[in-house]
This record gives sequence, C-alpha cells and structure tokens, in this order.
Amino acid sequence: MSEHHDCTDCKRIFEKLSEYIDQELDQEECLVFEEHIRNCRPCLEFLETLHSTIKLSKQLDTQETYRIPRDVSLKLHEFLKKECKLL
Amino acid sequence: MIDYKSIPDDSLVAQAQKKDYQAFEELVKRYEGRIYGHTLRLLGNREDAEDVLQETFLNMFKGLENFRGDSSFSTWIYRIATNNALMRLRKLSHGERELNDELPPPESMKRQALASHILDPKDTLLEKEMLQELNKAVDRLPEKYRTIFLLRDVEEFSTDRTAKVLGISEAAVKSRLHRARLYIRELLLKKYEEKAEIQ
Ligand SMILES: [Zn+2]
Repeated sequence: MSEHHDCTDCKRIFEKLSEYIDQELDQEECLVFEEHIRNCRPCLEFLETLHSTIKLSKQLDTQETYRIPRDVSLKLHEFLKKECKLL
Repeated sequence: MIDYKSIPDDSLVAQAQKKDYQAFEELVKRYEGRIYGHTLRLLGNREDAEDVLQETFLNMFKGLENFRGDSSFSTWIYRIATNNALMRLRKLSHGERELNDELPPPESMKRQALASHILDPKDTLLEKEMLQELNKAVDRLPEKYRTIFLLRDVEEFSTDRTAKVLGISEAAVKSRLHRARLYIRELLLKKYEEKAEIQ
C-alpha cells in the first residue's frame, strides 16, 4: 500500500467502487465519491481497471461453450416426457 | 391451436399447473438454454451440468403445484438450478475445494499505476487470452463468491434478483461481489505484469 493510500478517504472510496459502478450509491454519496475521484488519480485509475474487469466479465456470457448442445436439449425433453408420465 | 410461444411466463405456469404438458414444455424450452449455461458455469463440466439440468426441470414439474408466484418464475427456476448445482458441487468436492473459504484481503490499491488499457484489449487475440485468464480467475474464486460473481457480472442479474435466487441479503450480495471483483482484477493484472516481464 502506498503512502498516499493509507488515507481514510481513499479507503472509504475503495469500499464503494463497486456500488459506484453499479449506480447503487445515493445522490449524496455519489457526489462525495466523484469529488474525491476528481482529485485523486490513484483512485481514478483503480476505478478504471475495476470497470474494465467488469466489462470483460460480461463477455463471458457470449461464449459458445455455454450454449446448450442440440442433443442435450433433445435428451432433456425425452427424459422429462418419460419421468413426468410416471408421476 | 394455442400458440404457446406468445404466452407470458406466468400464464404458462398457470396452464402447466392445470396439467397442460405443452405449457410445461414451452417453459422448459424457454429456460433450458440459460439454465444449462448457468449450471455449466457453476459446475465446470458438461456431464454434471446435464444431470443438474434434468434434475432441475423435473423438480420444477413436481414443484409447480406449490408454486405461488411470490417470486417470478424465472427467479424460482434459477433458485432450483443453483441449489441443485451447489449441492452437486459439495458432493463432488469431498471437502477438497474449500467451499466456504474467505478471499484473501485485496492487496488494495497496489498496481493502480498499471495502464488500464491492458484490461481493455483492442485486438482480438489479446482479448481471447484475457478471457481465458478471466475464466481461470473465476474458477479460483471460493464458491460463495463465485456464484454471486457469475450471476451478477456474467449473467447480469440485478442485486435484488441475485439476493432472491440465493436467499441472502442484498448487502451480502454487494459486499461479496465487490471482494470477488477486486480479486479477479488483481489476478488479471498480475498475469499481465508477468507477461510484460517475459517480453
Ligand atoms: Zn483516493
């Protein structure tokens, strides 16, 4: 931890980074947050890399691997038809 | 003939509760893709994901008559799937994977000086590599963080809905998500520091 970042303000901001990105801070908290960020480059850079991490994560959802293969779907429907009739 | 495709979830549920099997099947068709992706992410292999998929929709069929619509159908089906997947994960792990592990405290503000563009790759090759690293990082998250991270940041559920699926408070969702993100960010940056050193 660099000297700069031992300051309590930065620590408080640090805890709120995710909520800020997710727009879950109330208006007042948001103003305090943005005021700090404007004047604190390390916090701003941290915010940016965290934001990029989150944006990258969203791309995991579009990966081919996670699509349901046709045979898995067919098997599911066969399975259900059989099992549900027994009930 | 009824066009089931155009019927909203809650009406389909009502139909299915009246033993309309086609309505049930339409619900399965509507959710199987998402639920499969979800269970595969949680479990990490196709065989288990497929088993849990089947189990989940069978549970849904059996549970339909008691479903009262306190939460949306979609939240309900995700809750069944998540519980089934987590139960399977626990069975499989035999304690190998420390499921309730805590994350190490973040190394905090370090490395912030690293250029943020490395996490914002412009060329596709780098992006592919980054996604692989990201997958590995997600795998290393302890379960209680991983599930939340997947729901919130990959599947893009709201905080509220994630809390309902998992049956925990919104505050818990927020704080674990934050820890998970910090951890992943740190792993990714470390990886790229290493790469930069090699080059
Ligand atoms: Zn600061």
